[in-house]
Amino acid sequence: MPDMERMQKHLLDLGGTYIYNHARRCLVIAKKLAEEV
Amino acid sequence: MQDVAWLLLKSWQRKYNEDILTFACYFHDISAFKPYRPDGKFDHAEESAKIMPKLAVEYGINDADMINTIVEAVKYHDKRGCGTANETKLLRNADAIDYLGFMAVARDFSKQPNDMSKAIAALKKHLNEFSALLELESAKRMAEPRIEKLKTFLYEFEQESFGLY
Repeated sequence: MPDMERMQKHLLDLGGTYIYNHARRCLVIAKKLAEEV
Repeated sequence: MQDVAWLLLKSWQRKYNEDILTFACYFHDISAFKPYRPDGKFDHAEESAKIMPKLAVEYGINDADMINTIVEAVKYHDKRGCGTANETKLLRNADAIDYLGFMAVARDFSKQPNDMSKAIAALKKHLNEFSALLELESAKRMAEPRIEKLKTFLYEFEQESFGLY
């Protein structure tokens, strides 16, 4: 697993919580959808 | 030992690679931000995909197949029907859902804090664009109430603003 803390800091430095939280929501939603693929 | 076996079983049952999905979800929009953002008009998915191979290696992902799947997922995250990997479909459908519903309202108004007419125009555009990206039945089911809420918001906003926007 890639270093999640480093990824978090990377995203927060780039675009703040807007992009970081979008990324996190995407991951949560993607996992919820995964039953179907 | 039983716990390890259970984790392995769960891992095999998964239809996606956790590392690929996580990495692609985290960095699929990276080219929208400096220092990765190119000058002028650009396709943010294409540009983000170009960044992935080097970035993945920096994060310790060295397997060529994994990197290729990350590149595909990021490259096609806004292009309906493109790509074959499950991670690509999951990211594309999840990204679309996150731009529907009250979340879409929050996102577009936060991007246009001083011009509500631009936020409303963006919402209408995004409603059409992101609804069209939904392919998985599970995604359509999850998106349906969000689409209805967003349509309701747009209608009520127009009513309360007397058509000024």
